[in-house]
Amino acid sequence: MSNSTNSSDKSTMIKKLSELPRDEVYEISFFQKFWARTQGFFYPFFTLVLLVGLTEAIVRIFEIRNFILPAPSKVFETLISSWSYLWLNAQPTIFIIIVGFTLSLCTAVPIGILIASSKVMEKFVYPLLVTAQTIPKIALAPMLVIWFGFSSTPKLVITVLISFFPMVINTVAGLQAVPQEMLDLAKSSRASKWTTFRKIRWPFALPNVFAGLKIAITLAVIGAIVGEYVGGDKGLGFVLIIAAGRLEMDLVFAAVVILVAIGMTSFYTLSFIERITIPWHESIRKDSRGR
Amino acid sequence: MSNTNGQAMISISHLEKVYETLTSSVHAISEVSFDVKEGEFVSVLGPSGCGKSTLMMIAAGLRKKTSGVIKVNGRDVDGPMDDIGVVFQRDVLLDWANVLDNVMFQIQARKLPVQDYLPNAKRLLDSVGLADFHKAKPYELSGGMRQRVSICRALVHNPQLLLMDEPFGALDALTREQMMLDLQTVWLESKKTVLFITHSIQEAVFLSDRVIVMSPRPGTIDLDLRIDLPRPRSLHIMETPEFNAYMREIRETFEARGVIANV
Repeated sequence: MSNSTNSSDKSTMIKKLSELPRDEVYEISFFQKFWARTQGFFYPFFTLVLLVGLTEAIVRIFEIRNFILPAPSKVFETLISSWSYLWLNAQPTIFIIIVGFTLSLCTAVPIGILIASSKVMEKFVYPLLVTAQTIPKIALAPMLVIWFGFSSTPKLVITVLISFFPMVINTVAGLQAVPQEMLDLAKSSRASKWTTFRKIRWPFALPNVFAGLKIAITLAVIGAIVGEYVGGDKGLGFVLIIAAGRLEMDLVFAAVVILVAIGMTSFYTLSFIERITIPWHESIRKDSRGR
Repeated sequence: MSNTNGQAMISISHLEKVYETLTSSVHAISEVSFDVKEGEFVSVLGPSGCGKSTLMMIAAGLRKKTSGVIKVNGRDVDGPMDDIGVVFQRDVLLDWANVLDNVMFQIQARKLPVQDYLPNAKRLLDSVGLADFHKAKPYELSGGMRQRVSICRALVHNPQLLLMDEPFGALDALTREQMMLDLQTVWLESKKTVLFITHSIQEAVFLSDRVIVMSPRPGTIDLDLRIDLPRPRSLHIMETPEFNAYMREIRETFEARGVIANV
């Protein structure tokens, strides 16, 4: 085939393609779209179903008693039958998580910004904060009850304490990781400190800040539960203590299922906010391309 | 086309730079003196570590000199200035802003009226072949396109002086040749004074009115070579004997200094 016919073949082919109606070229069935979006969720879901099935089988075959390991079906049954009791107690826990996390966020991020922008703060305060992170916050819980009584306050305090440090440290790390060249660019353009912060340092640090928030939200759930363990008459932590004391393991597991749901919902809410806030970041771009 | 009758845009005399660390001190630049005239394209050429980037950073007001005099437009450099544009080794684009906003960062940072410079930003992007990419995000662009955006950003406020620190160093050979041509076009249009830092002999000879060759650390000037080749220069000029004579002269300077050990 000579060169000229070859190229004319190509051009007719291109023409034909472009003559095709757009929908025909690009149309993907609803199920294909659905699968593309949710397949990442389905694989672990299959594993989960398998594990639950296995547990059910083991409990039934070996006739394991309820106070040692409840059958998943029994947990599900309790979840339904005790729903109103569980939901009533989930509400104060959710309240503690949300308010505690928000309080923590509103103090941790500004403190992180302060540390990253002030040499004095970085030298005098930051090392102490890093050291304070190693304090087992849970050990403070009984003391907090003595200080603040049995109200929501000690639970909020422990939630704030436990979720505070990863947010501070990630914010500081993000702000300090801004490359020198970017700061040189800002300086050469005579950008003010505020412009440099708003246009360069803060957006650059955002992925780190979000990483901190995502660690912190799961810790906030733990903080709320620990707070309710030590002193309280309501909340899922309280339910866990009481039910375990009565050897009602099905109720314990039902409460845990709700806690997992709360944890996952808050985590994925943050992931969603992250996705729309920093769509430019590498981790998000890779993710949305699908694996 | 030479620009010998302009006045000095940059004037450097007896410039010294010593980097002090806790344990040692590094003499980066020693006894450097030269002038760059208005409208002139001057390359500073040298091996890595000869202090040529430091020289540019000092000229940009981003690093402090140790001693000596450096003046831009007749005024002592004591910090970043209004009338310069800087292109860095890496493109330093902001991933969270689109191409046009990246260019306009220069305007916002300098608190200039955005509306007045927006047409200029668009025109510059169009002139370097990025007409369809105003709203694109930096990560959607190739390396060459990214560096074009950063050149537009350095030019958008219409500075008299353009400082470029190995801007094509990270690009592949083919892209680099295209960028050389494009930079020449932009320069011939705007007639800005350019101080161009590079380690490529070819790049320096192709682009410049004058090539200043620096020795290894501590960086001093070994050769100040005027390039008398007609403009606009096409890539074919690199095959001419005149071009190669300039290349040879520079290479021999490096050989004499032991920068290149020829067989």
